[in-house]
Formats: sequence, C-alpha cells, structure tokens
Amino acid sequence: MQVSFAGKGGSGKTTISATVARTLARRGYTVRAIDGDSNPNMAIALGIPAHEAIELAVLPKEIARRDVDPEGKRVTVLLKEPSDLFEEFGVDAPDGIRLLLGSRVGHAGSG
Amino acid sequence: MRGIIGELKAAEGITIIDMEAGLELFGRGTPGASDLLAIVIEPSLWSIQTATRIIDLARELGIPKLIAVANKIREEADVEWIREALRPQDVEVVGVVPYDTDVSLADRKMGSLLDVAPESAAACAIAELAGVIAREVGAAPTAPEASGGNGKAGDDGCPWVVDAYR
Repeated sequence: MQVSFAGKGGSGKTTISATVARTLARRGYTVRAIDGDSNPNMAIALGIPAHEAIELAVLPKEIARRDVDPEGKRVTVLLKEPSDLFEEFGVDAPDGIRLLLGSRVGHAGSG
Repeated sequence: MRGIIGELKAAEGITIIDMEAGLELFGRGTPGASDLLAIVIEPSLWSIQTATRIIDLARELGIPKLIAVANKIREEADVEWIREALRPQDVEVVGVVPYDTDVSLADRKMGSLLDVAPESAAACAIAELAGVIAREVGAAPTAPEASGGNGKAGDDGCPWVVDAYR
C-alpha cells in the first residue's frame, strides 16, 4: 500500500506523516517512508538525529529509466524492485522504518 | 509520468510519502499510484484553497481514497469550517489534530514528536489517525504489536489542548 500526504507548506504534513509512520511501525506494520521534499525534514521528524539527517545518501538516477508504454505514454521504469531500492539506498529510522530521500533523485536516464 | 518517487510502491507493507508542499508533484503525476491521499489542512483560507485544488488534481490522477486531516485545531468551529469547505467535493475530515505547543517543542529539539512528547495531545490524535489510515487501505500488520511503545488506541479518546473541543 502507498499512502501520500499532501498540503500547503507549513500545514504539518511532515510531522503528521512521520508520526503516522512511527505509530504504524510500532503496531507491527512494515513501514517504508519517502521524503519528497528537498530538505531532510522527514528524517528528523521520524527521529533520525539531525547530524545524521544532513548526511543522508541520495538516490542515484541510474535506478530508473524513461520509457514509453504501449499506449505511447511516457513512463518511469524502475530497474530494481522498490523493496530492493529501500534496502540498498534507504536509511534506518526508529521503529524499523526504512527511509528513502526521494527528492534528491537525479533525472532518470533516457531508455 | 509518475517519476521515481511515484513508482516506489513495495509489494507488502505501507509506504508513506511526505510529498513536497503544494501542487507541482500532482502535475507530474507522482502520487498517482497511491492507494490513499491524506490532505493536511490548517484552519486558514489559503490552506483550504490549496486543499480544494489538490482534491481536483488527485481525482484526475485517479487516487481511489482521499481523506482530510484538520491540523492545528484550536476550536470546533475550525473543524466545521474545514468540513464545510470540503463538502462540495465529498472529502471527509477523518482526523483532527489539535494545536499543540509540543509540536513546536519537537521542532525546536529537532526530534520526533513521539520521542520528545509521546503523551502529547497531538501525538495521541495522530496515533488515532494512523489507525484510521490503516483501516482505510485495508492493511494488516506484518508482525504482532510489540508490547510497550505508543501504539495504544485507547477508547477514552485523546486529550485536547482546548478542553471545549470534544
């Protein structure tokens, strides 16, 4: 399942989405998190120490390529399974959550 | 085209995306694969206007479930204002998070609300919201709930910063 949080800047999305993530993880769900913002705010809101949060790795652009689907629509094709990408490029957050910084992804290479 | 973020949907478990503020990622189709979109709204006109536009864009992307979360609430009238504003678009406010200075405290300490103020009204309300979201998407825990921690979902409800709101 994928759950996205949206809203105007400053509305409290990051605090709420991160706290929802921690709560569900404590209730035994397998939780992964993606920070779609360019600042590492979700890492901090999840409880990763600030000095670690600023050092977090970026997702390399080579993990995906652009392609065209049978209907002619442009699509992004991941070259690895999402769970593998979280495993390889994610970082550990409290309560067993795995976090990816999605916003620092470079543009996917052309297919 | 959803971009890389939108394609990161694991086969099991729950993937939570904290989207960049505003509308741009909707234009790119990023949350298009989401099973549920939670729209966080403060009691302000600009926040409500942004939310109504988000709802339109989310519906265009075909996201099956849209819910609203009223945040930084000080009085019931704030919640009613938000509910009424979303009624024409048929989106329900399923979570109400009170204005809570412990959230600011967690921000200043650069820590998680659950670590800095686990007994706060906001933490309690967000824990309730977490349960609602899990039910809405029909997810099941992978492992039994560990004892301890703040996974509680008490029947006596959450304390409010403003006692008048019940």
